[in-house]
Amino acid sequence: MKHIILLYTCILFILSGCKKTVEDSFSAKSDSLNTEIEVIIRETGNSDQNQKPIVYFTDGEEILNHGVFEKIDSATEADSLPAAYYVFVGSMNGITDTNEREKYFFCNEEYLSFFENEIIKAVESRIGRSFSPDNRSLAGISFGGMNAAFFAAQSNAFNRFAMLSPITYPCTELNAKIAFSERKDLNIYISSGHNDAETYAKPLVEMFNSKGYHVEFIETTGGHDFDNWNTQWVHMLKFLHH
Amino acid sequence: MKNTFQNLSVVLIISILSTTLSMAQKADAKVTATKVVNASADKVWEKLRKMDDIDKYSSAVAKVEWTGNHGIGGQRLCTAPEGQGYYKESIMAFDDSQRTYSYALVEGVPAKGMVNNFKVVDLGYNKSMIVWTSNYDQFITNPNMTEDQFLGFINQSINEMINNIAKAAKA
Repeated sequence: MKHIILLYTCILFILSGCKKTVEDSFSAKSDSLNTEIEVIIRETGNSDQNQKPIVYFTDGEEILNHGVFEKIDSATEADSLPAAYYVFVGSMNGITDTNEREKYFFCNEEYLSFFENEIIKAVESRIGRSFSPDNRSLAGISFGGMNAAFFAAQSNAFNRFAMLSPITYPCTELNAKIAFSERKDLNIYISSGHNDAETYAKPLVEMFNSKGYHVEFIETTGGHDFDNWNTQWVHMLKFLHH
Repeated sequence: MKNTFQNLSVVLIISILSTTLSMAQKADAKVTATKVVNASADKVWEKLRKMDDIDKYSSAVAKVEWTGNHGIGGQRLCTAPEGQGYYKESIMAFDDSQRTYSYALVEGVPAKGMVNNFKVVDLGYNKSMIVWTSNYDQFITNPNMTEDQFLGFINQSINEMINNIAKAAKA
């Protein structure tokens, strides 16, 4: 009987090891933004933790509410994606309870400082590992894509970026920031649906191409919504994890 | 009489536009150059929008090497006569409908964050105005040139260039 229990425990342990999704969430107090931001970290897969890359998503609440993590998790279980850490950074101001994405994402130096000096340190200290910029990606949708483009020009923290349907008009200085940026060897995924963000995505592609970056531009038949974006996560993450 | 009225109208429009432009066009611009051209805005823009032949209009540029898209993201490497250096420009805005383009000086000038802009303003009656503005964040101190000398060189070069573009558009 003792042996049967032991065997059963071992089987359970092995099975739980096959599907490993670890979740950690915390409220980050930010001096840069003078508020608190909700952050959720999820770990997929079962490979060596030191080999896993990390991907930060802005608009964390929206992304999670639209089932994005479930798609990523399924794709990881099916071996379509490597094991990784995913960080969902919220846009809600924890003090005023308002969504501040239109403040944070508009080429905002304070939001950049929040990432560079606060959130990356907090997240990676919880994980217990500091990631290199080449193993660290940032992904954003819509204005979040503009924010990712701004970070690509201004920050040394990430070498990999994804911009889904980036809308860039609120940041008139963005192209100048990219033109003058000294960053090299970036990997950038940009996508736009038809009748979506082509007006903004294509010039962004040209600006990044002019810097000699590795750019993948995808045009889809979708629009400016999760129906379109939800078809891209796996492809986008394969690009970021490559 | 009709001609006199037309001429007066043109002078009036130009005066109003000049005042408006000098006030509204980049109040913070380090250098602004304007030139009224006796040619339509479309004709002037046709010359300006090529962007890769500025060696035809400026004696400070002996050769232009263009790379990339002919629009946003395009880059031109301008070599000075007798190999006296080069500067590299990156096109960061281009709009046919507004007849305007902007470019960043990314290498070869003693100024950080320098962005220049060309715009052709339609004055009607087959006249137009070229407006060029230049801004930069900071002059980089160097042993070859003071900031005043740099601004003097910029002024001289751009005035020569827009005069030559005006001539070409009228031809």
